[in-house]
Amino acid sequence: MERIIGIDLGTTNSLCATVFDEGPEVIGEGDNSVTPSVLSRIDSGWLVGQEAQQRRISNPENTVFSIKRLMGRDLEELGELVNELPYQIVEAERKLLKVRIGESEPYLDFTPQELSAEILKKVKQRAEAALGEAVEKAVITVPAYFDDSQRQATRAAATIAGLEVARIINEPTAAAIAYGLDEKQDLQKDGHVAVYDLGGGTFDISILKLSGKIFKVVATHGNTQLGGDDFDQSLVEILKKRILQEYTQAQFDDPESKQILRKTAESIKIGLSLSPENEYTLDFPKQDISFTDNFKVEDFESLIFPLVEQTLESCKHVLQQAKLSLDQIDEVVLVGGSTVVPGVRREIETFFGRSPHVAIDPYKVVAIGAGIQGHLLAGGRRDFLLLDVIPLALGIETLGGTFSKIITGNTTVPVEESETFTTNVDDQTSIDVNIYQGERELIKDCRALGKFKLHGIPPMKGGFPLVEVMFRVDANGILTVSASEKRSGKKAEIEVIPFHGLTQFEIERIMEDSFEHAIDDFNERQLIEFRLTAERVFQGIEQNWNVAESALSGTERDEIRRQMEVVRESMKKQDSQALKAQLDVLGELTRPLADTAMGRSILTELQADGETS
Amino acid sequence: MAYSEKVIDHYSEPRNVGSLDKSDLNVGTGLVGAPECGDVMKLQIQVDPETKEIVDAKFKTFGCGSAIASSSLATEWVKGKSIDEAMSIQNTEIVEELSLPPVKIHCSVLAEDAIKAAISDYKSRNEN
Amino acid sequence: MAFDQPACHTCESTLVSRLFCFSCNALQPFPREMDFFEVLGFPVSFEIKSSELEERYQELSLELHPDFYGLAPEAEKLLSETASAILNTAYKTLREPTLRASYLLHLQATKQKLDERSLPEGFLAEMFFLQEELDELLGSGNAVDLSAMREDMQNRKKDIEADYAPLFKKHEEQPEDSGILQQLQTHLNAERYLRRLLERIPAAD
Repeated sequence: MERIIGIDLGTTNSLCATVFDEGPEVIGEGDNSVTPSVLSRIDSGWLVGQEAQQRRISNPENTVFSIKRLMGRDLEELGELVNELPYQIVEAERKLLKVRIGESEPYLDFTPQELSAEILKKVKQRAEAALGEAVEKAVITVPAYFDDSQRQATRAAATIAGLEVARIINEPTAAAIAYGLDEKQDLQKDGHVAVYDLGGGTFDISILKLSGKIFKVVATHGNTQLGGDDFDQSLVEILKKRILQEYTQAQFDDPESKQILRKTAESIKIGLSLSPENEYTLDFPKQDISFTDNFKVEDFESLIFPLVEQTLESCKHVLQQAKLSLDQIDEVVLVGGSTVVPGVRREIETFFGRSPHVAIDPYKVVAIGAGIQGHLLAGGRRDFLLLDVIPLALGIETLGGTFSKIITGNTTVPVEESETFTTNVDDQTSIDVNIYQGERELIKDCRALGKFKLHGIPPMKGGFPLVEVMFRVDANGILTVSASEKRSGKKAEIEVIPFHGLTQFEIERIMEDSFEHAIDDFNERQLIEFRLTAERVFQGIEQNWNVAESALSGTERDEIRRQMEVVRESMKKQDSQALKAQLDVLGELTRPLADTAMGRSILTELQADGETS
Repeated sequence: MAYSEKVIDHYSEPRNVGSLDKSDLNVGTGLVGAPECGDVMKLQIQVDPETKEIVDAKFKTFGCGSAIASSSLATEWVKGKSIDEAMSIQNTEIVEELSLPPVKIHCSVLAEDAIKAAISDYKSRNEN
Repeated sequence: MAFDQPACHTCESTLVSRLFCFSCNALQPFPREMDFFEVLGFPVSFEIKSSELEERYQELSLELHPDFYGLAPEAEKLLSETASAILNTAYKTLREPTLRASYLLHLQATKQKLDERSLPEGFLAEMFFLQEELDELLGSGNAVDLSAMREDMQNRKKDIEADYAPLFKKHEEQPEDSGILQQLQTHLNAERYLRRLLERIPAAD
């Protein structure tokens, strides 16, 4: 059975999980199971993960983090965030956002999709190393409130990373599966579950109805621009104020200072979840500033309260949409690293009037749920079903700048709906189909997704043509649109110009470019590794051949020489597993030399090789 | 092109929202609905007794944004027209290759119905 | 147009739902135009037990959903996605009384021409008046009066909804009486106006 892993591509951290014989679990041990969603530019490539994390202060302009907040967005929507981030963001063609790397021309501009792809590539590589097999297919999670552009961007990133996306699923829903299918968790089998998911950059609240085998999302609400990062930012503002009281001339606009403040804010936040007071020091060596102070937990809680309150407003809203009252919620589940922040959990408990489930690590639960879903999609089980919804209404612009919904928010997917429209003006021969997502009356308050024109409508009296616009949303929550004029039978051109995303052509071109530089094929990487190992082993043998002459018989030495030839032949071929097998044989032959320096060094090589593969 | 810009500019700020004096003999009032959608619209015209021209028009629509926008355009159109001209509402500005967003079907008849109803009301009250 | 009990195209057993055969677990090729009753496998009638509908929906979802066709050939994957979409729409329509009534009327009104815009006498004027009153109440923020209006409209809506079942039953018993379906149309139109009013009144806290 093929393996489909689950990947949680988070704002702050990324993880992956799969179903092992013992059950679903994250892939990798301890620190190896988490890849910080940070990347830092070096020479002609990227450092990704922990190594990049370390460069946030030493190299702030070229170290990119929280890229999830840029996915599927344009410059205007990001607002203040652009100034808060230490790396440069520019607007490219079609209002696409790009991160600009480099002090001077020629700059290197990267879309968020390409950057997220680098993170996914790293996650993929680490998974392959841990599992000892190629990883090609994955279920990727997104916030439930992600709109069509944001989902498309995520899918594009995975494609660029060389992953086939088996499904895009919503993070709260993934968490619900992890809890619901875990017998130990004792989640009520037939009831309403509220999943409160506060991550680094996004917030979701989803209400699910668990009924027999079915996990059905009833309603979902949230904010894709609200998360732990905003707690940090609030802290940063206070820290600035405090410093300015003592150092009135202090400046914080350069990237390095921004990052120093940011990192300190993060560690204060983390520190306060462990103890009621946190002492910190801020050093700005270039400005000769050294500032020491402490932060109390109650001050932190009042600071973030307005943000937490926003999440509770969302909770009220989602209950209304679900047509449920608070006492009809049977269970509450907490997900996301930011739910461990002081004060947050207490507010949630007060609001819902019950203790939330936190037993499954809130950092891991989404990945685990995605891994379980991957297992189902691979045919590994059939005993549950997710029925998710589209979070926001979809529709088109109608004359006057008004938004006409074709699919309402919180509709179960997959769904297909069509509506018929007409012209208002005589002899109108072309109709603009501008596609939007949102809940407001006017398009200017909704999100533009894309557009196309339906040409060649025979001139008729206004109100006569019958233009059927068909919307189809798949199980990933992603939309395809078609339109035709029924009287003439004219169909619309199929090419939709996406407003915030990459076209299929652009994605393919990016992949072609990266393929020339990167070696991401599992087999190829293994070949390189084993060939290198073989070279080192040969070197070891040659350097210590004089010891072998005393420790081994003539026959044994001949066998070693012969096996070295066999290995050399195998190195010329493309089969990594065959090469490994021959290296193992060579290892066996040099085993009698275990007690000598040479033997030990060879065996160490081969043993080390065995662990990393 | 000038026409489409005019139309769109007009729609983003609906004009002529309000009421005229129903009891005034020079005012015609029409009340129409589009039950498919739950829209209801009242449209009133003020007619100059000598020239028989529509000198003012006001409307009030409760319904979707599309209906409001369509009503707004209709009231702009009738102003300055004679009653007979208004009865046969036709957009006389013929444009080639005009590309505009579509309208909801019921909206395209709502305003027309409202104008006819208002004129009908005016005529019936001024029969003598 | 009635569901004429076609047979499964694979094993020839009688189909319960037009989309799927429970006997041999095969997706059925289906025509674009299907009525929602045959999709879910219920007789064409207003009365449906909601627990039975729920159960059938779950049963079918567990068979049709694209998640279970991950390894299937491309054509079958597409079929499952379309089938699921239709199933979801059918369920959504039949589950809610007003949507169900509206849909059933649309199915049954083929033989007679209905005035689709019929409303009770004076109703439109009343709705306009109430909307203007609502404008005022919303402006003044008078919670008591808003609450009273909400309750009033909700009761009127409930009264209308209570009439669907008896009217459809009457139509079954007296299909020659063309007035019955027209009454239903008038009811549904009125219900829509009441619903629009209610949408504007903020929910009770």
